[in-house]
Amino acid sequence: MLELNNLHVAIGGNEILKGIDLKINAGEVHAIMGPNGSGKSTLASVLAGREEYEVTSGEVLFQGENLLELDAETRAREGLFLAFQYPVEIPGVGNTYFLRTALNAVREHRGQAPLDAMDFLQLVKEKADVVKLDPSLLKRAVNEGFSGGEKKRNEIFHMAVLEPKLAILDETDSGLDIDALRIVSEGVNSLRDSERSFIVITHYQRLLDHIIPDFVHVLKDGRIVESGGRELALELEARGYDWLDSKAAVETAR
Amino acid sequence: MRSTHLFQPDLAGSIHASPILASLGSEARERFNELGFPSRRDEDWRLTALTPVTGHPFSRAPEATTATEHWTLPDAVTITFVNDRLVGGAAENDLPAGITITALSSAAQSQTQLIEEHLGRLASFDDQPFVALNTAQSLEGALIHLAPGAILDRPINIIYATTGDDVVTYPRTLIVAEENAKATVVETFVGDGRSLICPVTEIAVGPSATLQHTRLIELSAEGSCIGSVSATVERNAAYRLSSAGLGGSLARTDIRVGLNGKGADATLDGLTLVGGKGQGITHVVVEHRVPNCTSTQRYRSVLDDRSKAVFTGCIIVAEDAQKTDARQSSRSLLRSSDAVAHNNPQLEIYADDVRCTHGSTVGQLDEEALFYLRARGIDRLTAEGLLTLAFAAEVLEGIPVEAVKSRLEDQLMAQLGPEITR
Ligand SMILES: Nc1ncnc2c1ncn2[C@@H]1O[C@H](COP(=O)(O)OP(=O)(O)OP(=O)(O)O)[C@@H](O)[C@H]1O
Ligand SMILES: [Mg+2]
Repeated sequence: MLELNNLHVAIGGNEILKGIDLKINAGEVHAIMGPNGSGKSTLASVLAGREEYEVTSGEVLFQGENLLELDAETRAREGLFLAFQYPVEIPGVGNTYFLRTALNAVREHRGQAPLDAMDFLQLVKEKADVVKLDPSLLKRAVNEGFSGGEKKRNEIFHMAVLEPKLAILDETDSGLDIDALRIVSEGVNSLRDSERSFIVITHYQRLLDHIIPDFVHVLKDGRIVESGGRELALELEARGYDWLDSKAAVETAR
Repeated sequence: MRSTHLFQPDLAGSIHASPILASLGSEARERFNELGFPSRRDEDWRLTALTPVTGHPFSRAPEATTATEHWTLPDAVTITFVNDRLVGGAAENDLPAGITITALSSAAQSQTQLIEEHLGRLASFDDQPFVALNTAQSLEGALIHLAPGAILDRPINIIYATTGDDVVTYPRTLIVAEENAKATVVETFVGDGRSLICPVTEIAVGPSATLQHTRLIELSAEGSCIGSVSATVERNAAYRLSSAGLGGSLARTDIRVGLNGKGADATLDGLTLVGGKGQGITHVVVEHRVPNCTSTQRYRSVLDDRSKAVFTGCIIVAEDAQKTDARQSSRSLLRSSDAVAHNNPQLEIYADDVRCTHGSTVGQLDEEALFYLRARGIDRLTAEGLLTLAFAAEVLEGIPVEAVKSRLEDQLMAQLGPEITR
């Protein structure tokens, strides 16, 4: 599904990702954890096609194709989805109208006919139900004045409608209350299948009790310093990130 | 004479058959001869480059030989002028009692009192050269009269089409809404070639009357329009203006509204879309002459390429106009780094117990929002179009006629981005 080989990324001459290797197969869920500022969102943004970041070396293959050649909209149409850490408020653009424009762009790319208004509303109703999205949020402008939790729920709602092949969730759990965390996780789980992969970026083991990952990676100072199964998340919860420094140092010394 | 100008209005001889129009015309002619075209030394015209108008040999538009194509508001009462000649609509309309829509040329015979009382009295040609020019030259236009209590449910659509190259037209509208009357008037000004339109609209809104007024200016890339709107609003009356100007080489509108009676309200919205090297210029003066009146000005401009937009909004509050509530906001969206926007609020407040607010911003498309839209699969052009529509939304929402609103949205999208499936 996704393959990163020695990915280096800089912004304003500052190297932020310093050689990332990662392979994600169809159907897998990979969690990425790591301290603030380690480059998690940078990785997510680069994958989604944000242009400010400069890929200085390395490659990214998405479904066997060179992802870095595609612009953001084409990546989305090819099935890549980013749930933003900070969803953007867009006053004046209705949530439903926006989503319909997006869905029809994706459908067109897949060679499907646009959904008419009736079918679309039916779909929206169904998907809004999955994440228990307050229907009044559908009538408002995209994210405008949404609470922190509502924004995150709205992201997962968009994901449910667009049905991507690879979804990157950047701290979707932050700002969610306990019930919302469960509901959003159930929403994500309901989309899990053998064809769809997820990258779940989080600071909290708690989320991974709901969305059970196949792999956990630790990103620190632009590098993946540790990878393991879900038990790694528990260890991080107990020990923090400091022990990885000495471990990495030992490995480099070898 | 102003021999430096290629545009030399033909002011010789009276062209008005009716004595009222003829004497008004000659007064205005004299005044125009004194004033001449404005120059950049005039503070009000400092930011307007008039060369597209004065540097071109325009002459009076001849009668059109072919039918013109223009949009007509559905389900409206329509009156149409092409090149300053009535081509249809006035007599055929089946109107409720108390409402008349007449061509000015015939109204000068049949509704002399109305004409004498209002025409040329609302739009001052003393200090406005283009109003003087229009008044000196105008042959034709529409008179709309609403008797006390008259209410029209359907909108009235006055169409002024100008067709041909190197031609100038001088449309003239007079709207008189008497006490408690209510109507919606949509004026459309369409120019299809390298033409100049110099319209003047005069409006008297009587006590407790409501007039909703929409002005659409649709010009070709080489077309220009220099127009004015003058309105007086009496006690407890409401005047709501939404104007939209699309395209053109030079589109300037001067709007003057006088709040004359307690409880009067004026709500003035405007949207300007300019591209190429075009100029979109709006000057508004709202005068609060008596206490307890309210006014709102909301102007939005969208600029592409190397265009320029100017908004000058002046609020004057007279000494005894206490409890005035006046608001103004102007915002410009620069879609190109070569475009320039000027927003100039001006306040002249002589009363002490008033509430006046104003704010203006000039900004670009929000890159974060653009990326968000694109990351969901929407292409850049469409995303830019959506954000631009969103920027204009406040003004579009204020348009009272749904068909006008959706037409404008469609036109905006057609100019700004590819079609969006609705
Ligand atoms: N546009 C930018 N300009 C300058 N520096 C940037 C930019 N974007 C990211 N950075 C820097 O890159 C580093 C990584 O940031 P990033 O947002 O990827 O961290 P993160 O791992 O997602 O952190 P958090 O857990 O706090 O969300 C930080 O030091 C940040 O300041
Ligand atoms: Mg982050």
